[in-house]
Amino acid sequence: MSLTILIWGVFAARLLLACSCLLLSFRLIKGPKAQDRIIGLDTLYVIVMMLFATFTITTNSRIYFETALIIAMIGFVSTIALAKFLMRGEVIE
Amino acid sequence: MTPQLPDLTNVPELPLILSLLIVFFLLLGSLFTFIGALGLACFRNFYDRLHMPALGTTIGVTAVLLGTSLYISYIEGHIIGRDILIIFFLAFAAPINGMMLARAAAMRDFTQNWHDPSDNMFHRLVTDETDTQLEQEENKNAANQGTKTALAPTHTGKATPKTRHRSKNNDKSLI
Repeated sequence: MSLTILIWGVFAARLLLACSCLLLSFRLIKGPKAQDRIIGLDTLYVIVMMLFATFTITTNSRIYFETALIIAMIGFVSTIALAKFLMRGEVIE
Repeated sequence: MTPQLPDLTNVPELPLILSLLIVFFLLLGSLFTFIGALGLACFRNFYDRLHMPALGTTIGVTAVLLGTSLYISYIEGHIIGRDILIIFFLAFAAPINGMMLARAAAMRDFTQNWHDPSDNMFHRLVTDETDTQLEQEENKNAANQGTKTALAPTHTGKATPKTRHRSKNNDKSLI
């Protein structure tokens, strides 16, 4: 009983996260300016990190937490670099 | 029809209250993230869109990682604290991202002479001018300059007329 609840709950959560990934891909492709694309990419990083965290439940493996941590850090650094590039034209000055 | 999942034969049967708690956290977090993504896809202006990912990066990440951390702590038998690290990191990273992107967008819009078509109220708050005064002033400026209206330089080289009220190609011409 509890296993069925857990499986369906994880399935619904992944479905919602996948739908939000699709919406953010729409914003990433269409977005009228560069800053819209960058904010879509940043949020896409976070949502993929949450998808990796839900993989922990069905695979019983702790390694996805490390993956999620690395994805979060790389997403933060890439967003900062892209915002600096938009503002100044170069990342390191 | 059950979703296709890897084998769960080595998973012990969880207590019902723990399973309900994990599912509640997962659904809460993914629902908030979905609302944030919906707002990011549907809002019309960049400065409106900038608010929405904060739903996903605060409540969504916290709830989802708490749910998975409850599960893995029950399986392993001791508390796994890595997700607390991710939650704190993202909670500190999200406002920095928002501030940097807002500054970059504001600088770009300022240099490209951008106007929000629905920005009349803010302009009125700042300058104490009414819409009719603004229209009269713009008409006077246009009459003074004749056919040569004030043009904003764009990347495509195509000039856009500087209008405060609703113009359809105002958002498309500036990439």
